[in-house]
Amino acid sequence: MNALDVLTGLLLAGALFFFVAGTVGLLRFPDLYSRLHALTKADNVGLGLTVLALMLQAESWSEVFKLGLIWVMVLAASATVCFLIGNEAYRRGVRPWTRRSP
Amino acid sequence: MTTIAPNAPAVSITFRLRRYLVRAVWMALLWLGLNGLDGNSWIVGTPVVLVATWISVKLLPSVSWRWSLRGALVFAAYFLRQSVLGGWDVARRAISPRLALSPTIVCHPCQLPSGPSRLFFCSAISLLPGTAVVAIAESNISVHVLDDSTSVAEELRELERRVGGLFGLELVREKGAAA
Repeated sequence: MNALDVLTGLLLAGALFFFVAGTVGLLRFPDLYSRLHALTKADNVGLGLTVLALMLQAESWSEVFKLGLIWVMVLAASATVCFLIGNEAYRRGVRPWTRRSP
Repeated sequence: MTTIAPNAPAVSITFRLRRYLVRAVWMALLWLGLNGLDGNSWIVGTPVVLVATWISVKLLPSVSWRWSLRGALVFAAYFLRQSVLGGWDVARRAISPRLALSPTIVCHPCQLPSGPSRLFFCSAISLLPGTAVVAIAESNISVHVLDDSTSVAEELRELERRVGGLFGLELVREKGAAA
């Protein structure tokens, strides 16, 4: 158990927090639009921390590169899917939940 | 003059060849990054790189923008900071007992020209704190906002300015617009 392992553990704990919070948001948030926020944003940070943690344990630079690439591609996919789902709901006239008219 | 594809713009053969070559080099580097220096990987890699190059040029014939390395790094630092804030913000709202949400939809008049820079801007909005794009109509972007008490309009302008900077575009913002 060296310093790198400790750091890896801390990063993974942080990742876990964001994944759990994202899932809690998915369950608790009132409508489709706000659930999209919970999924895209919290999970991206969770994945980013996971990728960082795994990079510290990588055995070669090629692995570090691959992990980084995975993160960037998931970010791009996440932003795109978020827009596609949100846009489709909006076009179909799904009204966003508001404080005033629950 | 007879051409095979009459609708294709008149681009010289050497220029087109160069475009394919540059794209192929990038794809080959990507393959190298994914598979390391193992020579045998090129048995699969060569056809994959050729097909990827062909698809890439078909989908995106020309790359009409330039990112400076410095600009990209500055934007990456800003983006990382904002996405951590975004994750933290939404996590905090999700686990807060009283569910601190007050969503609304705001309209942002986009000054970036349609094309790669606007697309990049819209993708970035979805990853930053409390905002997600739900519709793009011409230059009007509808953004779903988690909390209407935050200064979203200001943050969107800031992001737009930065994306403009990344793509080397100077935005002329008349005073009082997008109030």
